[in-house]
Amino acid sequence: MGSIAPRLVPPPPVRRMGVPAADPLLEGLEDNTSVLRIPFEKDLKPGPVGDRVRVIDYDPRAGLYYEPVNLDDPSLLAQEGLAPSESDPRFHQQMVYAVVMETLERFEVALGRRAYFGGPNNRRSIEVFPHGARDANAWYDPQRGHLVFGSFRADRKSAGRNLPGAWVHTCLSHDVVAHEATHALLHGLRPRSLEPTGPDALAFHEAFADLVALLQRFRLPGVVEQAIRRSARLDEVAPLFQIGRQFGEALGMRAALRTAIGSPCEPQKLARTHECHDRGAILLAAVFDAFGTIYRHRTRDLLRIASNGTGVLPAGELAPDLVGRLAEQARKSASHLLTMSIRAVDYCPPLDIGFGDFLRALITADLDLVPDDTRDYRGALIAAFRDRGIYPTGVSCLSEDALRWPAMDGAADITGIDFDKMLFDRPPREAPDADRKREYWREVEKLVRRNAKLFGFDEKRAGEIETRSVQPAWRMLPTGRVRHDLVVQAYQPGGCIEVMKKKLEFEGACTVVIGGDEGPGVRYAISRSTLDAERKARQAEYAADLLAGAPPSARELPWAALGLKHVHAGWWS
Amino acid sequence: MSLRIRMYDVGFGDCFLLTFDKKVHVLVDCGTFVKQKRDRVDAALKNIKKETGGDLAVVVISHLHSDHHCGFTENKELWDDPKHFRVGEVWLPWTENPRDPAALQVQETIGLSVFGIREQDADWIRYETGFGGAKRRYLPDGNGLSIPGVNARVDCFGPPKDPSFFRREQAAERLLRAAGSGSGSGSGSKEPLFAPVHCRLPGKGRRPLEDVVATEEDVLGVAGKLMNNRSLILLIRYGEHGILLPGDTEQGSWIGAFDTTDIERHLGDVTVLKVGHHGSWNATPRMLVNALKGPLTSLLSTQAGISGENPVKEVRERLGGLGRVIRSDEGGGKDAGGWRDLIQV
Repeated sequence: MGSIAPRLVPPPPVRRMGVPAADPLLEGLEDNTSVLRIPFEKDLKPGPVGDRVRVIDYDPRAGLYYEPVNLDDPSLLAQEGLAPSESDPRFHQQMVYAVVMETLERFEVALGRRAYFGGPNNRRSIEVFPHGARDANAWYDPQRGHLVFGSFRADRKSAGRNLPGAWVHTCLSHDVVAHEATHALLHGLRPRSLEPTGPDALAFHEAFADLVALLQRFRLPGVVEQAIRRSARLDEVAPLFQIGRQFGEALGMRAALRTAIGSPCEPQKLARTHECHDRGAILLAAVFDAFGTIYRHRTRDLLRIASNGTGVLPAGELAPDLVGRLAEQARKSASHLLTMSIRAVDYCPPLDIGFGDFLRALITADLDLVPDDTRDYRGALIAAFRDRGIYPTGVSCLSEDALRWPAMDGAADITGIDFDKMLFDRPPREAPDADRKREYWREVEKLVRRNAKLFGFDEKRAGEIETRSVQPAWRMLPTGRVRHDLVVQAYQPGGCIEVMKKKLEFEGACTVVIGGDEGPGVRYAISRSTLDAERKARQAEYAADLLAGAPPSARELPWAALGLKHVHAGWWS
Repeated sequence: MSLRIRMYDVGFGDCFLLTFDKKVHVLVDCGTFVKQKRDRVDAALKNIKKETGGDLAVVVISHLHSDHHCGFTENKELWDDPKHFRVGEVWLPWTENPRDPAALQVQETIGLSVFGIREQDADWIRYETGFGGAKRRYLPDGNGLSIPGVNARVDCFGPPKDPSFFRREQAAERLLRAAGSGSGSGSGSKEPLFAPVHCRLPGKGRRPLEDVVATEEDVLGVAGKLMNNRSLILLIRYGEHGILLPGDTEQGSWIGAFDTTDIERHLGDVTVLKVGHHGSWNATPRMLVNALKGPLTSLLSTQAGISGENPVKEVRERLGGLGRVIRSDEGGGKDAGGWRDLIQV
């Protein structure tokens, strides 16, 4: 008998890693862990330094590195990575790696393509510093493309469940890590989204990061079960809001967020609210209202089954099976809303995103991808936004049809463009080679320039229109089919706004969604016109306001950093 | 021989009027950080005009942050009009001297607009054009210092001549409160966060990442700190009173003052302290408090809820242990006009 070559075992699809289920910022580190399943990166180096996420555990204050974790160590592969530990930096590295990868995966699955991080030139990978600062703060640094997490000492007198005076690490909070990673990913999707183009734009950035972090938290196994079991009341969404509020507390301990979720609806409140965090909290509250409605809808039958058709539950503890089923419904609702929200970004204008735009994008994206909305998610969202006073401008009524961005229906001139090649050429997670990429971009740019007027650009200066992003989107429909689209962002300079000696570029921009399935063509053009003088004036006014309120030390920063700083830290002196 | 110190409630900012012998007036700073309080600054200016008739022997601008200068720069027409205000001298930190190469270097390396002051406003303060052409002193300048018409001893201990002090920080134990516990900027400890077994020094050829990672100072505003450290530190002794006016001096320049001047020897004479930086955690270091003897009157011009936990509890408590702490934002006998008269000799 000749020798038989050993058969290769294919790499596993996922890597399992334990993360604390409770938030250590709030409750200290508990024993119970949730297991995250994230895509398995081959050849992961110690750090972990992978293809997409590079954890560099450098402590600039102490001037040294902490020993990097090697997740490919067989002992760690055979279990769910390192067990949660506050005193072992290797667990911290594993934690940030796992959560950033998980967030990235949510984005890629929802968008149906590779997602990029923001920063100098959009990047495939992001550098993460789990102990980059000594501060009760964490941030995304748009200038360098870093995520930096701080450590601080617990209050010596009221440390909560932490050891008084011990170091508390922001990188151990699932929500904080997911929040910062979302800032980076949203900035990657919309490179100008951090600039102070209007009160909603910055509020949207913050609210979106909170939204993704919170909904993602609901997906952690075990978290929802605990809340439902503890409250023993499942006929209401209160326990879900309760955890939402708790998470909010960990995320910067902001009162606005804590109190907004599940608060009574006041449609007039948005119009009265100008501060960007308070506005963001209203958007978040609206999405959570919809989450509640969807959850209630999805669990109605379970309640009837559990109560012999009466809808009234007997007193006492809930059956564990029932808790499990309810939690599953909550997780599903959260997952779907998360996917919808991320997909909606592709249908938002490239800059100056308003809350109303986000609603329209949510509806349009969902109509494209889930035309048959049996669970009435869209109805729940529309009602929730209406009840919170978020009304899109320029729509005649709040029906799905009216909210959907107007379809182009062949109005755009697309002669001579080979969509098939662009759309189906390659799987979307593989970047095309540079030559082909340039070729596609030129093609698309031609198309955009030819339709300049239709897309809200200044026709006379069509030559200045620049296509900055051409992205395929292969998204899975509930029917099992795949939808092929191309999402394009084009920009046109519209002069400079000078605010207190600081220059802010004014640009027109348009998101062009090109569909490949029902005969190729431009489906939507969602634009911010270059010729909109009113928007220009509004932007100048808002930027001036922001700058006037900024602490002197912040004014030197580039606009994106200034904007992020404003939404993130609030101001200080 | 009489002295009155009037502290105006201008929100998160400073405005002090010192009146000697009921006739010679010195104004120390005038500004606010909070936009909504600009009307308080206007009210203060109105009262200053009424009290002084427009004659100010000296105007002190401790440093160029708007919560110390906006009352001047936003009302240039009042200050340039001899019918309204007549200023004898303007005292500025040496770093604002437009003719000193060392100062120019400081101004250049740190930049102008980071101070939240427009170039023309800075020029108006720095050159003899503003304040109706009043004489400038850039301090400390090595020459004797006095308030015209008053028999008071005036010493200037800062900002330090060596700009490297502006960036220096103290070990945590030298501050009144532990770093990082809630307050925004900075932190003292350089200790590793984990046990030595986990630590690795940057290997050979491996670049330390100081210049790569944005530090908390980058994000939380080291530039603001650098400006605060360019504050004047003045000690005015008049009769039995010693009034210490440190502007917003933070850690670095306090170290500079203690290391390079004999300030420590004089601190026993201090009876009135203008609390630095509206009561922040790193502007009143332990070494200062230890050197003060008391009984001490601490003047805390601040507004709670504007900047983190300022004024922080530890500062209030330690100074409270030396005497009384009087806050500009707390009522109790506050005149309707929004000021308090604090010392009457």
